[in-house]
Amino acid sequence: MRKYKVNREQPVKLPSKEVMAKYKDFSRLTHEYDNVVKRPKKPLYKDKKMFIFIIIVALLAVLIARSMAEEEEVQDDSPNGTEVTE
Amino acid sequence: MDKTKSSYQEDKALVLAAQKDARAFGGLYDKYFERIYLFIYKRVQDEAVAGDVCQDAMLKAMHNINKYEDRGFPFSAWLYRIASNEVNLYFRAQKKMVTVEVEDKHVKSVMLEIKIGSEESESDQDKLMKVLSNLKPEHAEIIELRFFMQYSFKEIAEFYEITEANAKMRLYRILDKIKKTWETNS
Repeated sequence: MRKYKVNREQPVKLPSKEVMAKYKDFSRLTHEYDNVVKRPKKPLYKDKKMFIFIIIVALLAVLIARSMAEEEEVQDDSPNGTEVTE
Repeated sequence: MDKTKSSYQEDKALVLAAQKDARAFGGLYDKYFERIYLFIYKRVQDEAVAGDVCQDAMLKAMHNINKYEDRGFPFSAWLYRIASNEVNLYFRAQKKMVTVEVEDKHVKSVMLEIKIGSEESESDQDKLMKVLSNLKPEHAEIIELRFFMQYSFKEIAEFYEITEANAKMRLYRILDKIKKTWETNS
């Protein structure tokens, strides 16, 4: 959140080259870059949370596939391919 | 923003090198760090915060350099846009209100442009600041570029990668919105 305020006194001073040099650090940037791009240390199957998540997704996929297959079967069994509504 | 042809060619070579090997991003980092830092500093007005936001912006640029496409606008425009997005993210993430000071001459120039209130009246100036503080960050951004950072329409157009006519249209729509809010508040 930001709020603007009128500055009626001295104009805002810009930082000097020395100040900017203090924050300029390419080696830190490459280090951070390496942290972002490098592969995760833990393999997926060793990550508990991820493992449970994958199992849940797989279970859901199986359940959805099953219910779709059952629906198709019911449709195939009914005359003229329509569902029996009894 | 740098507009010379040689700088454009130099950037092209530096970008190509960085796209091949991310470590070659150092050339672009060296060339643009100070400009991007100052751009961020003018908006956040804190040296340490500007340093952190600048580093985040450079990291994003380095990470996404392969997605950069040359559309005929200076490479710096792409960097400035990333930096501006990072500034907006920074302000959004702040739980406490961050105060940004604006020189009164810049406030007066906005008032003159949209013909509202009296430029010399301090209460009118404060009222305008309230209206600006309630703008969406992306709307406030173009006002900052034009009036507080004195960008030309050409520079604004390059920043957004749009035509100058579109840049003017975008700005005047927001100024119109500010005027309407001002009038409903009075």
